[in-house]
Amino acid sequence: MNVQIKAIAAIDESATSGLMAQLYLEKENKKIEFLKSLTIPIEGGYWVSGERLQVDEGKYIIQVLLPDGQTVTNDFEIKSFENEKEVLIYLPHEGPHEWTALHAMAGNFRWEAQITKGFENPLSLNPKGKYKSLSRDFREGYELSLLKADKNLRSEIFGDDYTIDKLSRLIQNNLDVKNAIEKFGATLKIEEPTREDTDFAMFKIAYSGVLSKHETPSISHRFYPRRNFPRHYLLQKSVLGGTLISLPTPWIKPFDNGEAEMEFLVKKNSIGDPLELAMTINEPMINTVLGYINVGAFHQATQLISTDYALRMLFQKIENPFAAVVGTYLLILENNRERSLLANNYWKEWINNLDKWFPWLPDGAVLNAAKHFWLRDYSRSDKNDFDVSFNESFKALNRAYERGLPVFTFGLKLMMDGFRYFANEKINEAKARLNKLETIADKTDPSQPFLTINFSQR
Amino acid sequence: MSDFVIYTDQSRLNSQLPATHAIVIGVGEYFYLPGGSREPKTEFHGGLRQLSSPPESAKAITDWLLDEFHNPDKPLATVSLLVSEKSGEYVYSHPKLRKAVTTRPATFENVKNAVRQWKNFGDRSEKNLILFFFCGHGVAKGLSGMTLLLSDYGESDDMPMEGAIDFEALHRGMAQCGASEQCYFIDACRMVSTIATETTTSGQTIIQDNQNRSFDSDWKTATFYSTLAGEAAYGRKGKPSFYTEALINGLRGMGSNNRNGDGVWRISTNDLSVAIHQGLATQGEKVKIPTSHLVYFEFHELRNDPLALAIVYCDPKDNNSRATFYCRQNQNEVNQRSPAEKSWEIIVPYGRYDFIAEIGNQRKQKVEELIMPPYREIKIEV
Repeated sequence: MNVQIKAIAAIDESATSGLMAQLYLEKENKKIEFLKSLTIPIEGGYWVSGERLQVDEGKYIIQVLLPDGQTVTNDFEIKSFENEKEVLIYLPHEGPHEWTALHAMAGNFRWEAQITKGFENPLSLNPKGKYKSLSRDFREGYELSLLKADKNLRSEIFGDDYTIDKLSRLIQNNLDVKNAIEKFGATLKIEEPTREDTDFAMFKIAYSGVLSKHETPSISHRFYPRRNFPRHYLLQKSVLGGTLISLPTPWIKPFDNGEAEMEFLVKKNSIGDPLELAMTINEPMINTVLGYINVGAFHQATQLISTDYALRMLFQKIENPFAAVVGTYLLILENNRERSLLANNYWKEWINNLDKWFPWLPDGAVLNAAKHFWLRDYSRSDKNDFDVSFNESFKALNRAYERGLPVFTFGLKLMMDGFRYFANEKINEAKARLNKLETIADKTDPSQPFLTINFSQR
Repeated sequence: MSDFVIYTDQSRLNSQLPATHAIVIGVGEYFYLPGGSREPKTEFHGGLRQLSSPPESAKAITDWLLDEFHNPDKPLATVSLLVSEKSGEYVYSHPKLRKAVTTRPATFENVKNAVRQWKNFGDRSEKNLILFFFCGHGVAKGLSGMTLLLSDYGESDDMPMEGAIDFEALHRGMAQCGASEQCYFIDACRMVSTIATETTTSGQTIIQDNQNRSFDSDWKTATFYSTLAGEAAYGRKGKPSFYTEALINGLRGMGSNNRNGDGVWRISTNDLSVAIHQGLATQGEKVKIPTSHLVYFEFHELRNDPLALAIVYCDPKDNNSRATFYCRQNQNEVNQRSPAEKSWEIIVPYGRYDFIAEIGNQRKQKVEELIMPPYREIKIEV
């Protein structure tokens, strides 16, 4: 008989591959037997169908891993007369507020949610006030601005092949935030968050900027091979310094080609201390992947995005090069050569194109280089093959460096691993570039998925 | 045998067959931090103090290794143990040891030598498994810095990090170790302390910082950081840390799976990571751990059925403080708890149980609930 299993969540979007689950059968001796791992959909704002499983009569246990590392276990029984059964798993909502539901699924601010119990208790007896008033004077609060790097003629940091060198120098010079931020050129101050209450401010960010409460991204974007595409950043300044945040916008949703907004959530009573924030994309599958990575469930992340799916994301890089990068990172970071080289020929060609077609995206070139230094994708017995792979990898790594800051934090880490590899092979240029990257890495927030750099601390 | 190795299976070591080598480091006393036994105290203390939990954590882990670790293909061959304790010398005893052992303190020099010896054990076979446990103060700096402070940290304010090791560099360097399976358990609070910002290095490099592996085998490595912020990482005086407790619960079953279909429950790196994360979920404010390379492999088999956690609570939860909980199996009482504010967390061998909540004359139950790894929540509407 057919069984369809899906998770139900209080979020706006849905995903056909939403969560990883394991299905067990209970045997007569009450021991359980593992049957299979499966992906199940998350049904949020609209209906999605799940995989139809053919199972026999019996008692089953389904165990679902949530993005925050929690596990939900449900029993269900299939009786002999049943032909169809739908098993629904209701996901807990443990976020501070309903409009932070996606963050709640990934475990962001879960501790705070236990304190606030929704709206019942404020986090602080001295609330910080509205963002609008906090942003009037950053020395008393904080201010967010959007930075469009490409057309910014006044930017000393962006605009040529030396962004990493210049950012590294800026960090070393330790300028105060007011002077440091001027080096980035013209910025567009964000006037209002999308949602706000006593404790949290939520900024829903599309390529066009911060969205208002009921606004959805309206402009469609397309990427074209070998054409530049201007990247956007977020700049945050407070009395403690300034932070540059790389934005993966526009994030194009699979199938409907609309834009999924990025959700940027700030805990307001952390203002004045190192800022506590969380970031995700309003696409449940990606939210799950980022959550799984955060709790060390790489294996489940790579199961959710199967080799086929990761390759499809890579293949569809024209639709969404950021998603192609995430899929490829999973293939590489899992460090499973058997799996990642399974589709060897496709892999090599497509990752090469991810590098060549998107000159504005350093992550593609980092991944191309990683085929050599991370996956060791060369013949051990053929010195010529090794030499070609070695040289191509170093060229790709330098290309990435000259393109500028990776979008993703693991991109910076992988870039450093690459330069460290070549530095250990006695290449002085690699050592010099590694030093610059280390200066930036020292000021990088390791907990954020999108590159977040504290460039000034006063 | 050196001064650091407290346990050796000499025949396995001599055989050159694949084996497991473990090193356990617990730093409770910091000589030059406030409350330490030596002068002068360092100015670079960043608010860090003496710890009572790491020696207990080191003991708990060592006991687990000697009593329960089970990898038929790679049996335990050596255990090195270094402990610094405030009360002085640390003596470790265990039925498997011929006599009690006075361990060497976890100073930089000792840890450096012990780690190199442990790496050499690992080099003996590419099929080896090596395990690294550290419990003590850690400071983090950005994406690449994780420094483990040893007991002589701060001996000289001219170079306080002489008494610390750069863990990230050590980890990268271990790619050059022959052992292809490597697990690192870092029970440190990851404080983004002023120590990290006021000092110029991330500790000493004790294994050449070179990630270029010269072996045919892939480098399968997994690092398990504590996710608790600040001193909450330790929490309880004179007891193993919350992290160690979560780790051992994970190793006893909460981090196990029987996905191989042969009836054996095994601990994998991913399942263990999720179990530790869950174990720490309710213990304090969290720090998000950095993205680390965590390769999937299984490294420990359970000899018995796994233990699993049941989290029992009333709906609404406010009624916990009025409810007496009972856990029963086959009509026999397994355990009970008196009214208390928190949910009841009970660890039981995996199987089906009845759970009862009793408030005055009112009695509600959930029957025949399967408790299996990692855990299951039991909500009783009462």
